[in-house]
Amino acid sequence: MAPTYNIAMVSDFFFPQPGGVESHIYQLSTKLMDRGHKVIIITHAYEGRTGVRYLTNGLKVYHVPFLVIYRSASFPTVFSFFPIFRNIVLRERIDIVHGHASLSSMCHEAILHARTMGLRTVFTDHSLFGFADAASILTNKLLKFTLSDVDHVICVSHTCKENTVLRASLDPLMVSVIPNAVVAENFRPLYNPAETSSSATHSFGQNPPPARQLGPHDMITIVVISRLFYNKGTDLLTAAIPRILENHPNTRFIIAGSGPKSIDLEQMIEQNVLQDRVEMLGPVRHEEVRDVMVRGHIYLHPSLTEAFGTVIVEAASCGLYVVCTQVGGIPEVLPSHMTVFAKPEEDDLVAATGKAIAALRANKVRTELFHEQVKTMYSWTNVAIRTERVYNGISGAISEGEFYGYDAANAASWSATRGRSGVQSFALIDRLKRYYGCGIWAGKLFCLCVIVDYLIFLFLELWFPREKIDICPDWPRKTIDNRKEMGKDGLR
Amino acid sequence: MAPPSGLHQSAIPSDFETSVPQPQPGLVRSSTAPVNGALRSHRSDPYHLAPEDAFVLPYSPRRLGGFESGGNGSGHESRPRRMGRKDDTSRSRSRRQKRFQKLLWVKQSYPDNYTDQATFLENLQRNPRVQPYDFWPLVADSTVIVQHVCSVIIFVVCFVGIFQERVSPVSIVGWGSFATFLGWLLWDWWVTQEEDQGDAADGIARKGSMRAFREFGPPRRQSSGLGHPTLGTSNVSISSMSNFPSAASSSSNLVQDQHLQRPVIFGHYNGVSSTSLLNPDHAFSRSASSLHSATSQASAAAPARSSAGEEIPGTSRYRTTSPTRGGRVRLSTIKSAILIYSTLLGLSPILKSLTRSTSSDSIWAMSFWLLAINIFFFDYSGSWVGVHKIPVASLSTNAALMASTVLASRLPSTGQVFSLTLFSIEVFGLFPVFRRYARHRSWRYHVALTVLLVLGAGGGVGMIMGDERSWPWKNGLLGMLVGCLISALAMGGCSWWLIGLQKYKNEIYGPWDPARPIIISRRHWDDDQ
Amino acid sequence: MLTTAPHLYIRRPSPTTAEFTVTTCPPLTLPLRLALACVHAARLSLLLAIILLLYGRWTASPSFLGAEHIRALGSPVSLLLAGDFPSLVLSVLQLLHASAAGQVCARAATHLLPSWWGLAVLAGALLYATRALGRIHTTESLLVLRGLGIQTASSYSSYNANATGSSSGSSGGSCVVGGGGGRWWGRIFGGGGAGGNAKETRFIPTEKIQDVLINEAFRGFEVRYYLVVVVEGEEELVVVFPRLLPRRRIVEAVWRGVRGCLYEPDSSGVAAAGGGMGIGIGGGDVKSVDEKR
Repeated sequence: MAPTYNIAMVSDFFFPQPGGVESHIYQLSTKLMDRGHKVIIITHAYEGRTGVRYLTNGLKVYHVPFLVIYRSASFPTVFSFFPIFRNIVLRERIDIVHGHASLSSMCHEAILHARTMGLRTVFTDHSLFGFADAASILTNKLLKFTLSDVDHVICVSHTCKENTVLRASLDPLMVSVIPNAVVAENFRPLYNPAETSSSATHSFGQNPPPARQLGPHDMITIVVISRLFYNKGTDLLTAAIPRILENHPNTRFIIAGSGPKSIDLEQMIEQNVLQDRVEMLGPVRHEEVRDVMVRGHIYLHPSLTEAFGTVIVEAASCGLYVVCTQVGGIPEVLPSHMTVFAKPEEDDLVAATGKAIAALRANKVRTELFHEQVKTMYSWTNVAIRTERVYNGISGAISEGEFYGYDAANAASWSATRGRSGVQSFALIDRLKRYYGCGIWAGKLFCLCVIVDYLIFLFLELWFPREKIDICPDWPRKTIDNRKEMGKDGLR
Repeated sequence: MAPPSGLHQSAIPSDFETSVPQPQPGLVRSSTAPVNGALRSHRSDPYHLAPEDAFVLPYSPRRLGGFESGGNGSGHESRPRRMGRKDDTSRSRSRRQKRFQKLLWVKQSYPDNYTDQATFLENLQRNPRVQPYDFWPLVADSTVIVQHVCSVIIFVVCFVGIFQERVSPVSIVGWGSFATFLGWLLWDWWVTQEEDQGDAADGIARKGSMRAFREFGPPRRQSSGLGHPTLGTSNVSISSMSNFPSAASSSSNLVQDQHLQRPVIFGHYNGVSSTSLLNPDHAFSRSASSLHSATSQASAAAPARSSAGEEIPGTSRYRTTSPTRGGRVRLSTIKSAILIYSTLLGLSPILKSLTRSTSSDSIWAMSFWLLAINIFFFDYSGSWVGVHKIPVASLSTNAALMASTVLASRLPSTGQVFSLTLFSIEVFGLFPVFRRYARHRSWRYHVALTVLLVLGAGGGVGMIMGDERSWPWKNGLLGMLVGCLISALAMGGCSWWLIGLQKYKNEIYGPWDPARPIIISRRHWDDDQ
Repeated sequence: MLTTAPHLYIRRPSPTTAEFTVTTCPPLTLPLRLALACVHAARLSLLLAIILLLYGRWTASPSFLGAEHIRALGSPVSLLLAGDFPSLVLSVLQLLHASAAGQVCARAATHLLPSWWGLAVLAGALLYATRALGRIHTTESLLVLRGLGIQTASSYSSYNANATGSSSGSSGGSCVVGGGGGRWWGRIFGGGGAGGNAKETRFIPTEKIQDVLINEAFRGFEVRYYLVVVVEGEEELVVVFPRLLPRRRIVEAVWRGVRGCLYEPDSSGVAAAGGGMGIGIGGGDVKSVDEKR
């Protein structure tokens, strides 16, 4: 029987707010619960959602009342979260604190406090940051602070891993790459509607779905679903659309999403009189994304930076041929037969789209197979299993040597110098050593923060003794046959 | 001394060639190769410290080292051991058939935290745009700051002179106006000269430069030999200035890149804005980024022009200037000058009593801070964006004019107030434009002007500080000597210091940076509009 | 010493009736009684001292009516019989003032408190201290009558009865025992009596009760369990034991008892606990409340 853990996912970002991090946390938590772990989520209060809530599958969500400053990121008050966090952790008997998103101050605080309380911590980074601008420098410093004393870090792509390793000066071995996933059932292609019924599934299991033939003059629809921000490459899109439509007569665009750049798009449409060939849908809800996607043949993703790009996986799952810019982690996400890559240049984007249209017209692309392929590539169960391995590694359930992949012979000397990966010591002095290396001034400041945090912890132990805190009863845990699951997913 | 542009000029063509495939960072493996070689080839002076000295280290040219040297202090000690260990692991895994792939959709036979030696951080670029500094160009560039500081000092000296009633205000404003008039005449002559040269350019070059002119300003005097005047030589003076360390010298290290020969119009602001503007491509695609800077400068210039009142001859349509048109422009300039003159005359009594209820101490403090703002926010970049776009940092100019207003309000008589205000407009509004143009015209004028200003400021301070009864010229000479010494020391010392700081430069680029989109068709739109 | 952590007593006079009482009052042993008596005596004398101080200061002031005038009112007994309470108070005070303790207080008042202002501050502070001592124990109870409904009652430190009365008493069925004019006196002087001060009750009929459940909420720096009654037609939930907010095992025991008593025929557990005697719930093993939702 594999060990099970009590895990607290901490992030500022959670439902009811929509978004990628939010659904990642939810899906991962759900799958971890399916694997017999206990998962709670700690986030800040949203409007009309304060207090303790249960989601339908028994996922418990603590909406801690906090001040929200910007785009639902809470105000960074380093220590004020500690008493309530300690209370939650003790009453839920948490072993592992798992923080998400580097812009969430709540997550950073929680990791700091959790280390003070002697818990294992994991951090998942969902985004990429540069090194040049002032905001990034500040964020990176804070990230370095938090991650100086974290047990393991999870990144959603290899590019993201490189970035995080550089930003927080981490040992690459304590950073795992575990991609996002999609719920493939929610992104079924249009021509495969009957998959829910068992007979249909069976028949499709034997024969691949019939190929979708496109004639040379059939209308090809290009779908774009993204928030219309600069970072999402809306400028590129605005510049490319007239040229694409000019070069390819039987094509049209469907653009969903909203943002400050939508005005540019509308201006472009009016200037080039493309109203009948470009359809602007405005904001769509995540549930409706699939219905928009299946209206098209090609998904165009002109983003300028992207850690993972879940949406292109969703598009491929819907059976769309994907044209995307080759930035960030995007090149890692999909196999080359599903995508056409372009440089983030207008010319190249136009050319790549042209290539995709030509390939579709020549019926060279078996888009009808994409769904099944994506389904085997990405699943949340797989993500949960891999995350579970991280938990096992940091809590010592699997040996250090196995987890970090080095010879046990020189393990002792190695871990002595390494100090940063592996099962980390909770001793205050060891933690201070780790924080001290963060910088000449920052190191001292961080040490001061950690000492204050520790003093607060001692005070809380006196003032709110552990015996006075009620222990929560657990939701009935699911049990699972690990070996079967592992074998099915084909993972190590 | 040779113009500082010589070195950069020689570097331009090769840089231009190599930088064309640059815009998509991290995609092309070859473009991400260690930058040492490329930079080495440009180094002209092996005896000075250069940024690459900081990261060309004994260990392998693969990038891995150093990125966590700031981490916990153990990075460097553990490095060799780690390398060895990873070799071991790779050997133990050698029986595995599948190579590690940097892909997410493949089911890898490696653990999630496996770090592949061959591919990890392969797209990392360190200091890809570093441009080494040389000592003398740096010193030469710092003259701009010296000039401005000196002119501020001269203004303060004049105020003190008026305030202590040592100098007659009429003489100050008289000499100031006379100098302004002379400067204007000189300017006018220069502009006419330049027009003549510009007319001599052949058709294609002219067409190209027309576009360039719309974007960047008039074609340069030196441009006659090149088909695209904006590409190369025209920006020589810019590049020599734009790597100049402004007040935030240590942070401005981001600016230095091998594409600096392209115009970094806002290079002086800070590294961030300038790197975002950098677009290492040919001139037209650059328009996207440079355009807004140009327009912002134009907008900044507009109020200044109206306040200065002296219309600069040869405004935006000066290319088509006929002699009569030039005369008309001159007439309008004189007209607006008279207008300003009489407005000031009318406002002076109001200004005089403006701060009567405020104590002198607060006025001194306030004017000190305002002048400090003026010095720190002044537009030191040498970019000459055109006669019709007076490059003025509005915050700086406004601060200076406000300082002069509050100082003038301390003066007892209307005549003094009027003189000081007019003088401040000349010093802070018109003189910077002239200085910039003089530098653009000829390096020799620039140096001469600098020496003159240093001497003037030093002498003025000496006379003010000196005893009133004793012979003022002795103090003045002493002040000039001390002024020259101090400015030489400051220029040399600061330049040397900045070069010393270069070894701390560590700039990291990689695929995680937001890509800079290259949009071509926007040019067409802008042309249409 | 005088209080304990909240603990639970269950009274079951009949199988269909149960009273759950949560109190901070420990079992009344003789030493405890003595200690309580001492506390009350100390408070009484403190109050008296304050009044005498004020009175002594008043007698020294020019606005004083004059001792003869008060003496002329008559004896306290006759005033009591006549029902003239203000005069009665005055005469009693004069009598006390004339006593030895009263003289000491009066001298202290004139010497130590030169101004009315300082006196008022001191008196206010002392009065506040006395009132803060008010009630030592908080007792809250829940009475369940099958077929009728449930009644919540809560008696607490009376000095803040107003605040809670206005917050939780806004809904219709609540009333304050000992209200009206007597309440003011009850608040000042009523600290001596064991049960004679502010007590708030509310009755909720069975047909209005939608559910009884345990919930969690943030309170201060912690997350607390609490028992709520969902009442039909009301926005707000009715919190049972709102001041004490006992810990989870008590809340759970009450919740089980309420559910058992209100909705179902006697279960085996209730039968075993029946018999009309109070049982304190100790550290017994409490089962999970998983099925509560």
